[in-house]
Amino acid sequence: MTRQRSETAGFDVAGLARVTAELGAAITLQEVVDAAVTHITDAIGASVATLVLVENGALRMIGGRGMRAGIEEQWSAFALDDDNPASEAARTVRPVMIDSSAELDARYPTMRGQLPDGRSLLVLPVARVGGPPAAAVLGLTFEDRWLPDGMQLDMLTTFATACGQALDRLAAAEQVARQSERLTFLADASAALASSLDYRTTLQTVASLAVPELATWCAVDVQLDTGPATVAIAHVDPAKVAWAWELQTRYPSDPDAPGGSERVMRTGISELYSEIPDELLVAAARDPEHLQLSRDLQMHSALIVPLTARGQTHGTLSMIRAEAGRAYDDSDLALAEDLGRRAGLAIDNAKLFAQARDVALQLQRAVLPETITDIPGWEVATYYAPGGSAEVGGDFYDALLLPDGRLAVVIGDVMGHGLPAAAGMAQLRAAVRAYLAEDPDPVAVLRHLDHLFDFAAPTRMATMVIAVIDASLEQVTLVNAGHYPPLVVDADGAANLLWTTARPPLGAGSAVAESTTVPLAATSTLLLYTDGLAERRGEILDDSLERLARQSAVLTAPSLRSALHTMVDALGVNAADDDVTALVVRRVQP
Amino acid sequence: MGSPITIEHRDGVYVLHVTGALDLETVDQLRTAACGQLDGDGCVELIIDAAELSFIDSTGIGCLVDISNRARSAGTRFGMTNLEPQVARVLDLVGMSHLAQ
Repeated sequence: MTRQRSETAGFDVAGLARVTAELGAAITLQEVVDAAVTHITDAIGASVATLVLVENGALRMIGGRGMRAGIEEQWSAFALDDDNPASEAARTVRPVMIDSSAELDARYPTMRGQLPDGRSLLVLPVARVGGPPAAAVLGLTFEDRWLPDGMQLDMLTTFATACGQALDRLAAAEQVARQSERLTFLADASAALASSLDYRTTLQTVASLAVPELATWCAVDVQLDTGPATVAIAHVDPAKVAWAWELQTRYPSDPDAPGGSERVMRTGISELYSEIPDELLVAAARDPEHLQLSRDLQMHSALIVPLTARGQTHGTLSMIRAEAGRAYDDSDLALAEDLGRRAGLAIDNAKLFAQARDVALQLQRAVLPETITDIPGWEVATYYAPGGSAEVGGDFYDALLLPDGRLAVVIGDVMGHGLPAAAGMAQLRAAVRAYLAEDPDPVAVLRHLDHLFDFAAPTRMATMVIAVIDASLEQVTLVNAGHYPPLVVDADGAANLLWTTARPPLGAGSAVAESTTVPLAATSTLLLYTDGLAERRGEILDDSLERLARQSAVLTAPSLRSALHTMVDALGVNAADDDVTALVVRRVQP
Repeated sequence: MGSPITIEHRDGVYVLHVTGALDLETVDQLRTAACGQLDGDGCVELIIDAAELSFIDSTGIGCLVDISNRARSAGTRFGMTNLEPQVARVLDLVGMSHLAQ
């Protein structure tokens, strides 16, 4: 029995050195496979070469050359503890040499007949740090029962070591790529979470960012006042997004469910399912159709983390992978938990903001009547739109029929935002009503308001116009404390700004007010408004006022209410910047 | 539209040079700069030099009223100089032209 023969001319030492060097430069798995399988067979005259990875107790062939038809499928995967040369080399991390088919049959009965007559087999382990088992094995068969001698075997072992280093390098590179993918995701997701207080939009962005790198599909559930609800879904296949929503609608989450996102919502503790066996789907299914839908989702691996802030679980983030071979692990869970905390904070902030905004808006709405229709002889229309992205401001209006039959109309703008501005506005509006009832002279009202600001200021500063209309004299008397000028639109559409003697806003120190009285025809319309209606960022004031005057011509239309909305639309106001408030009034036309 | 503010002072008179626009985006800068002087010791007079200020809106006016009120309670004189016509026009319109020196 010739165990080793060195006289075969096929073994090219220089060629082997070249292929070994080639491995040192390999940066893709394909390059490693090319070197370890294709180029090596040429260099050493092997008839068959296979590269088999050892992972999780199993061997998986990733490249082969020269194999007989049918063998490749048969040997594509087998167990580490199987009784064959590859498994043995992987377990022992020592080369296995088989001189002949007879030796193979004798040593590995289950392998009987696998090695053709006249061939010999060498299996080289590719060692790993911290092994056994080996990281991979390299199988080589030779014609004429040739096997390498001691020096050749050393050279081949060096080659196998280079293979191992190349595989380690690839794994490290993949690790780095995954890590940087995660960091990029976390950075992008954090930016998205910080960008908006509209958390539904934000959570959809986060879910979309997770796909496809981190998840095949991703869903976010949030605890709403009405119970848990899915608010965001992203899937690798956009067509499946609609389908996933449908699934959520048909099988809404059950808060008492024994597992899954419902349990995470209750407990605030993450759940990691590295592998999802079919039994789990069966256990969670509500009915056969639900089971089928769950199976169609091909959930191979999943993780669910809570969205927490200040000890409260606001929702859950679920990530599911459909690809086999990339099961979630603890590092994925840590990343998702980090994201969950950030998303939880974003939801918490949004909820707090929404609560504060709701209270301010409710106060605003409670104080401002939406329609003022109960004033005989007068048609009054109002418009109020709270600032969109900013907080609610302190705009207000009022219309009050005085005991002497005159009509007082008021518009005001309290400086600031949010609840303090809304509360200041409510106090100020009540004060104006009370002072008007006491003495309807608008100069006297302003004097009283100055006193109020001096000793119990309802707010830091406010601008205001008070106009008292006398229908019988067809004139209007007005005072203006730091507010933009009201506008009169005549029946022919001609608009005139009412320039009054300027006095500072309320809260800017007591000041003497003078009233201005101008004619107001029975067919004319008076427009009071706040800065949000006129101002455009960066536009000089006179241009803003001129545009307003031009657009106000529509106020001559028969329906004052719809005319006001037409004008606001035509002005194209940007409610995101500031509250937009307006009041228009004219005599009921005979 | 940025509004870099520079400060110079001599004998208790602090001058803030404001440039560009005074609106929602820049009022906080001015308010912080002005309050910094008013809260410090030895500010007898605070002046905003508006030679380079080309635009002001209602938010900017609100800020000036704020500064004016704080100056009054601190016992510090406050005013504005070198107003551009557009800025003077807005101050005039809202009854704050007394700030112009």
